[in-house]
Amino acid sequence: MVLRRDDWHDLARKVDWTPRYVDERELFPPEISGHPWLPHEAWQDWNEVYRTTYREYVANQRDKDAAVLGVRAALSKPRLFDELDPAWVQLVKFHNGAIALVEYAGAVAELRMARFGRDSAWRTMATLGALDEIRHTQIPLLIGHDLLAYDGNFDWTHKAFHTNEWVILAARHLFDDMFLAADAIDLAIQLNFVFETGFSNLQFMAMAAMADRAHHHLFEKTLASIQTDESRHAQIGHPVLRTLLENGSRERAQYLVDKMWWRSWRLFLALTGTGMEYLTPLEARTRSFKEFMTEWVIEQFVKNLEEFDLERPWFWDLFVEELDFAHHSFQLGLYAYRTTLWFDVTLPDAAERAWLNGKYPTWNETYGPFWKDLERRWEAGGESSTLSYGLPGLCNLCQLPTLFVRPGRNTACTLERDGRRYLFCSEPCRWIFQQESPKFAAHKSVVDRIVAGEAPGKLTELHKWMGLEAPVETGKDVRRGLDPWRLDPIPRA
Amino acid sequence: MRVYLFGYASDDYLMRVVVTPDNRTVAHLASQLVAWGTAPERNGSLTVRNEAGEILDPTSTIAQAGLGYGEIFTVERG
Amino acid sequence: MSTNLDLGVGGVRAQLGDHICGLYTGEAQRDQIVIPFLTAGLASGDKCICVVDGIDPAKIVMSLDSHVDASKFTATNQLEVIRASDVYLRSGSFSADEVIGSWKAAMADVMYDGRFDVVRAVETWSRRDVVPDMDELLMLESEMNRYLPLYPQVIVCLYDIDRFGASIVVNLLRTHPRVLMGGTLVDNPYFRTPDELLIEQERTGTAAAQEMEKAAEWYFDATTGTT
Repeated sequence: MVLRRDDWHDLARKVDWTPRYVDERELFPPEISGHPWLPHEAWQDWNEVYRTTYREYVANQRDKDAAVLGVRAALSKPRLFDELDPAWVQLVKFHNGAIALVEYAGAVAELRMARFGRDSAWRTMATLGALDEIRHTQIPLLIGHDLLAYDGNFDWTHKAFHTNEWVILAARHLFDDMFLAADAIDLAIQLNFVFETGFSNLQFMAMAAMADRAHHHLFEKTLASIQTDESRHAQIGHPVLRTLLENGSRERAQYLVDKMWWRSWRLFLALTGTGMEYLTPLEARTRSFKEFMTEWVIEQFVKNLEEFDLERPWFWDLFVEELDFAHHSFQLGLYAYRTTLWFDVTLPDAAERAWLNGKYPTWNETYGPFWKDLERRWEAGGESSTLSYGLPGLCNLCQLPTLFVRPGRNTACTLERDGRRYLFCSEPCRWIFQQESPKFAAHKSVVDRIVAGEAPGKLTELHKWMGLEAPVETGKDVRRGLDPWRLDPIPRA
Repeated sequence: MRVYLFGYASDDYLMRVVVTPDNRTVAHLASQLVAWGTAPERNGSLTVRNEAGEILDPTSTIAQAGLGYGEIFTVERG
Repeated sequence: MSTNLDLGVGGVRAQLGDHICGLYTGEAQRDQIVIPFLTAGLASGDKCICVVDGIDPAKIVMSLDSHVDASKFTATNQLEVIRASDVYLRSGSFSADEVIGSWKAAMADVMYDGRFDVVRAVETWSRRDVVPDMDELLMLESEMNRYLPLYPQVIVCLYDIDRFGASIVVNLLRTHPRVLMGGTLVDNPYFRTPDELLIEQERTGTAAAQEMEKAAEWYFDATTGTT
């Protein structure tokens, strides 16, 4: 007689090991399994809400893949690409480069939990999570590869994470901290609980809504499909957190949540904030980045905190203040240093500025003068005086330029440790560094490396060092282009 | 000795990396940051502060003013 | 570190931040300034940038070779000798903004290189490779004064008077705070800051013409030793 799923699933998912040749601590060393190290009894009530068998997983995923591939076949016609807004295409390039191989790193992280998670159900979910992340790597690589025919810089879908490009180094620093270099417990909290339950909804579902209105239906469908997997393996975080809190690790749990909230915020304002409000065509903008953050991320996050009786991060007021400014400040930096990017950027036109001011009533007063000045420089002298020639200070934690919060209010600060002075964009970044200095202290930002002579200071050579073959691969103003000769070195005797 | 410093001008949006011999004056340092910034053509007074917010004597050298490797200075433009 | 440096020419000393103009006639006179200026700079450990018009940069390096190991200095990038058209005509036409952009990029390169405390730059203009629009040239020379603080530097701009004509004199006087004449460095009373020049350019008529006459007379007197 064939057993029904409900008869065996609960038993099967909780089948676990009783080690006899080694002790439990050797089987699950704390260095990889995580802290606090608790005996298995503490973990035995680890339970996920949404349960699936491997057979169900394979069937569901096969259907999802068939749907994605079907849409791809239907929509991969040359003229469809030509009809996409040129700035939107840059958003896809930005997203692809920043995300594709992060997903692959996520697979490594899930596999770490698949081996070193402290409960069998956790390990099973993580095994399926690893398969999810492999899928999430393959999809953007596939779509990015299709798009190579139209824009060679979609090569950065794969290439980005193998370069020293500064935005990518910031992403790698974050994701190494969040999961690649984290033990199983920390990564469950940082990746599954904070990042996936909180932020990735914004990147995938909000972007999907905008992609629909930008008429990029293939991208929309792939994002939505990816997010359905995300919701499943993101649930790993909740029971891990619950176990930590039940076993006296409230302080550590609060720290991990605070840290990863701030670090995720930094990534999202840079990638999603600028993408939504400077690369998405006006008619496709369903809401502002701040509105999305408030509705999709903050509300959910606060609910999660309440569920676990955790406090809002200590820097909450600063975060709220930054919602109105930080991504706009970052866009100015992206524009000034656009030749160091693998995607193009925009200077907002009059209609876009009006929209921005409508959503952020101080935008015109704070940022208007900078953009007007750039327009004037284009008209008066051409491209050269719209580019930036000196280096920006880079934060030694998040690796982003020290331009927060906004013009007229800069929160950069420093710290001296063992004879070296470190620069940070904000108090939270400095605080995170101080909490885990041994982990972060040896790292050098791009600026540190230039000043130490380990990376070139000359822009034409820095492009190469970052993996950008000028001028073809370097970023430019979407509407105005880039003079091709501009990045050629001047010949010397 | 050359030092690298991080400078923020009040009319700028970004903190910039400035390298300079530390026996140049604080006034020179301020002018240097302004020249690298977004509005070098704007005239007016320049008040230099260290990270603690203390005003630095424009005639003192960078070293005498206590600015060392990797420190922050701000320039308030009048 | 001293704030003044030996120009290498007749014992003349300049201050860091000086923007100096000078006139010459023919290559021999040009090289009487360029070669010792660069030689003194290389000996002092300064970064030396030379932009030359109407001559192959390799010839300048060869001329320097009889004084210093110029090839070694070019190999280590302490010395850069560049053809004027390669800097000034990158966009296809002469543009003050483009030249300033190239200068800022060059100063960033020096600043982050970490080896040099001082930049010494000399440009020679002879209307052979680069025939600049005179209004654009005036704008460039004037606006460059805003960028002197980018890094400790001395800039010497040399003009072949046979190729430009005497009319260049007044423009040089309006845009350079110091003038190299007769083996001495003289403060220029007719220098206008970039803002003053912009205002002045809007002035027309008698007052402006008289001012220019006075400047020309001053230069004549100074160079003929009648001041």
